[in-house]
Amino acid sequence: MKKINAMKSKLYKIETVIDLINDGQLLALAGDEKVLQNLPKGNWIAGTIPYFMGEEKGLFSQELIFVNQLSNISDEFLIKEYDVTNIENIAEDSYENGFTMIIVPPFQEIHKEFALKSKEIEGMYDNPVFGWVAGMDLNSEDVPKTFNGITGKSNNDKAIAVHVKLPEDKVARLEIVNIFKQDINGIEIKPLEDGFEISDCLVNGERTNFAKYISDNNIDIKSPLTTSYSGAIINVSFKNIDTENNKVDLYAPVFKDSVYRLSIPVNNYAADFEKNIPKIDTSVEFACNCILNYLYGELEGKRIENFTGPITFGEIAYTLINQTMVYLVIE
Amino acid sequence: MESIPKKDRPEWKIILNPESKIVFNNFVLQMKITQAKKDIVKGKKTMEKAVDEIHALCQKYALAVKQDMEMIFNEKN
Repeated sequence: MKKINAMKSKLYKIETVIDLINDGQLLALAGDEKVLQNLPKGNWIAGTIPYFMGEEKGLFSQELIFVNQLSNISDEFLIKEYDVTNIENIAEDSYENGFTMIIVPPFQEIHKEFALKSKEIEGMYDNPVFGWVAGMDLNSEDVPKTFNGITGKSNNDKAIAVHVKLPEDKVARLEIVNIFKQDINGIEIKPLEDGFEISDCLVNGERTNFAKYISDNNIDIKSPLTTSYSGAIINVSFKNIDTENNKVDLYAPVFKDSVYRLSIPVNNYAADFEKNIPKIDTSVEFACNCILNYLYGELEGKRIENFTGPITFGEIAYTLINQTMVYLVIE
Repeated sequence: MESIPKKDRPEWKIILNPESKIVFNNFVLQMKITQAKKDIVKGKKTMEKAVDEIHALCQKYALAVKQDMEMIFNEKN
């Protein structure tokens, strides 16, 4: 395999991506279905999305493809599809030292199963397991899909993953950048059940209908629910306040063994991301950011320095999270 | 701190105590410790097994967890 080490993770035209595939490169791709479906078979995985953070600015494109060129990292890999019957094997399938990148279709059984169970999978934290939830043009009826480049087939109900082996002297490290801070002086929310919706919950210890509480108190649902995992602030975004059925729909699950708080609204998303991104001595191999940050923060046309990648319908950093930038470095 | 402290140090059990409110800087350590504490509460994992796993994780990410190790074990080179 010829290595094209000078190439970076960035947006490319389809002709360049076809050349890379035909060269045998291992690629993780993000693009609109209309362009992904024209790619030849090869060593690649992909998910549908037409929103990106490019080198110069955030943009919408149904022609360009975002390429993470994994051949620069390793030649040893395994591409595998996952559904609810085998997702529990994802950590077991990974190499002893490496990482796993996964793309999941939204609102399907595999999405729900992964979100609810991934944290408890044995060995889940031995290597970085990261990736994103596929999406589509928000002004279309398109169906989000994942692609297995080996077979050339797409799916709307299966996740696709690539397990990559790293040499012994390298280690992959997964990090997140969350611009939202917990409102520690505000209410404490304790769900009564695990899941993607909240009906009744405990608000400051009192049983309360959460949809009614949000509606009555005019809470800004552009800012996510948050919980602290030993200092890591994990976001769960609001999808819809269903006052008719007295429930709150969410883009990721809440868990009854966790305590949640509202977050403090952000004024300037792009500036806050740049402010919160740590100094990194090595190159970022992968990054993605959330469609809600892109929309609420009006990131189209704005630049986040040194971080490029797909704008996604959910981010995966061992588990499903929302409104968060996820990135991988190799040291 | 050049290496990760031995597994028999009592601090490992302190950070894995489900009542512990200690916060960390490294992301995978934050995730792993939170899950390990939940597994201990549910009886899915023993404290000894959790210490083994956290110790192995810290050895793998020795550089990335350096700040957390110094904070927990109060040791600096």
